[in-house]
Amino acid sequence: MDQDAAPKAPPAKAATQAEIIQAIEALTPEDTERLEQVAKNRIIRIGRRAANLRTGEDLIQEAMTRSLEGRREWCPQNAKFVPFLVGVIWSIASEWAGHRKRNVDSPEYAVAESQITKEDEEGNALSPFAGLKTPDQNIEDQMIDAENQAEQKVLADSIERCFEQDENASYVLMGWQDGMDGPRIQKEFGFNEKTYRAIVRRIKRNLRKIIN
Amino acid sequence: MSDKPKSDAERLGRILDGLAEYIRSAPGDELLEDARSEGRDPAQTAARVKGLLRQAVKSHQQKQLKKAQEDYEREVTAIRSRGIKLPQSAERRRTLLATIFTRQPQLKLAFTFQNRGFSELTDEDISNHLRKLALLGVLDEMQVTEDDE
Repeated sequence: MDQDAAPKAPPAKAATQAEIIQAIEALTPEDTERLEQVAKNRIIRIGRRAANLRTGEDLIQEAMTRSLEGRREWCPQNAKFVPFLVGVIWSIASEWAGHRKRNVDSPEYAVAESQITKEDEEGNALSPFAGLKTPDQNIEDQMIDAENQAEQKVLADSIERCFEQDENASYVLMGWQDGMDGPRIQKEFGFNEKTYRAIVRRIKRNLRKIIN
Repeated sequence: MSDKPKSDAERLGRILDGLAEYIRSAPGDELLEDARSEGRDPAQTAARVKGLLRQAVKSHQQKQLKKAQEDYEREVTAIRSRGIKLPQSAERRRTLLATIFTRQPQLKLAFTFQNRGFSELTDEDISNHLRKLALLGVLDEMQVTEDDE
């Protein structure tokens, strides 16, 4: 036997249903606020087409369901309940976004054809897809995607414009857009953590106003 | 090294990711303050979010219960639909039950004879016991030959 070998840590045990229920009951208003805000943020992030009418509330429930079903395992020894759930919310949103990208033609995301049927010169119903050679994406989808892209551009421009006069906020936005994370932005632009958080909160408050 | 976004969607996405990172790690009191400044009541949010989570638990438990019921019903149906083949003659049925009790004496205790000896069992008692044993799968281990049937 290898005397030097480190003793193996016991495998992390997944939480029981009773432990999950206990964790739900122990959630504080700070915890629920974090879950609410992350879920809302992720729904805006993936866009309304990928969200496919689903809301932040659906995202929270889906995260819980997957945890209960064991598709996502919470091991209390490894992680606290809220950071775990935030991670699940995050990954489900990415999955929904990826699913939409891979399945643009899926009926799940399609607008009913009857809603976009047109008529020919004689008044007969005519599908807008008639005569098209195996389209990759139907016209309605293309229009909605174009509309989404335009909205995203307007939103991104509005955010930047809103902070034109706010030098620090502009630096943070620039940092994010360049793929930097918080610590890197702080280092790059010489902000301490408190200042950085104050700037981010300012952006957050204004973003809410812009989106509303 | 700068990694410029390739589209407007990505540009907006990165801003939202930056904000999400903040929400993920921000002190709880800042999140509460932000909620209040947006005109939301954190107590109401807490009640609603907890309600959503409880609802998910309830749905999951109902699903589990439904599955357990379905599994049970399937099992019962499978047992009921199993053809039970017993030897045709009363003498062979009696011999078969005696053999089972010899091989698995613990079953003799389970099938209490209410102070009646094995020899006192009627043919009907024996057939009933054999049917019960068949449902329990005990007869699967015994060879019931064509001759026995």
